[in-house]
Amino acid sequence: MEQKKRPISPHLSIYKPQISSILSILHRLTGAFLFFALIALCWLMIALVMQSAGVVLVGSNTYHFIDTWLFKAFLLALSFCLYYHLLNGIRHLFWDAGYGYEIKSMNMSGILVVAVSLFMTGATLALAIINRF
Amino acid sequence: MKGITYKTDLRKAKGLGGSKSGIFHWKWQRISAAALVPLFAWFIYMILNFLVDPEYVLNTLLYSPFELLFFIILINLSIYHGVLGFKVICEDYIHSEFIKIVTVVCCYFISFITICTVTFALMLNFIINI
Repeated sequence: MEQKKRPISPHLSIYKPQISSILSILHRLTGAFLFFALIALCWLMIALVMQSAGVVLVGSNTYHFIDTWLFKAFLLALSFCLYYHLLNGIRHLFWDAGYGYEIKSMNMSGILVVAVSLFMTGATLALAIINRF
Repeated sequence: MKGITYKTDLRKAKGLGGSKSGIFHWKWQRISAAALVPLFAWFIYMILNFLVDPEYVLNTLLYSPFELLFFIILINLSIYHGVLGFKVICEDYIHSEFIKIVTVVCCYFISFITICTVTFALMLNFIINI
């Protein structure tokens, strides 16, 4: 019976938080969020595009929905996830090619990825505010 | 008393057999990722342009043939990449074999329907508004 309670990898709850592990988990979380959001946005786009083609799948409240603050906040969160996942994905591709394995450069590239994606999210928000979205 | 064994339960076959495809999943996750990097660089440029001039960007994305093609390829490849990634997450965190298989199959199915419908809708919209 004892064999059935062997710990199962990954040991998230007993793992000491480090830059590498947190960024790795964040990569998965943003990836999963992007996947669900992508499917949802696809169906939203299908509804809107079909409406212009004369097929009404949903009422006119779709247009009201994409104008709410909730949806805009969702898009801002989505843009951070996209920037982060894209940049961290490039970092992963460099690892797969065999570069950047030293602890120091790993931590540096991790901090750089978070900083750049936060900066890009800020720039997106600024651009949206300037153009009154 | 039976002899002490150092082997784990994994020595028993789980009834699923070999995977038959060792490197396929890993390889295509990387290939789709590498292909998505330039596509998303372009798409982020379009998003930032959209914030400045929405009408121009929507017209470009939906009604100029090459941009629409890029857009459709981007959506299809993203969902493919997402399916591969989501499968890994399911395999790592869902420990019940039954729930795991059901989730992954549902994910395949929903993704496939989404890809077909979104491609159809975009092309239909292009054709009737051209």
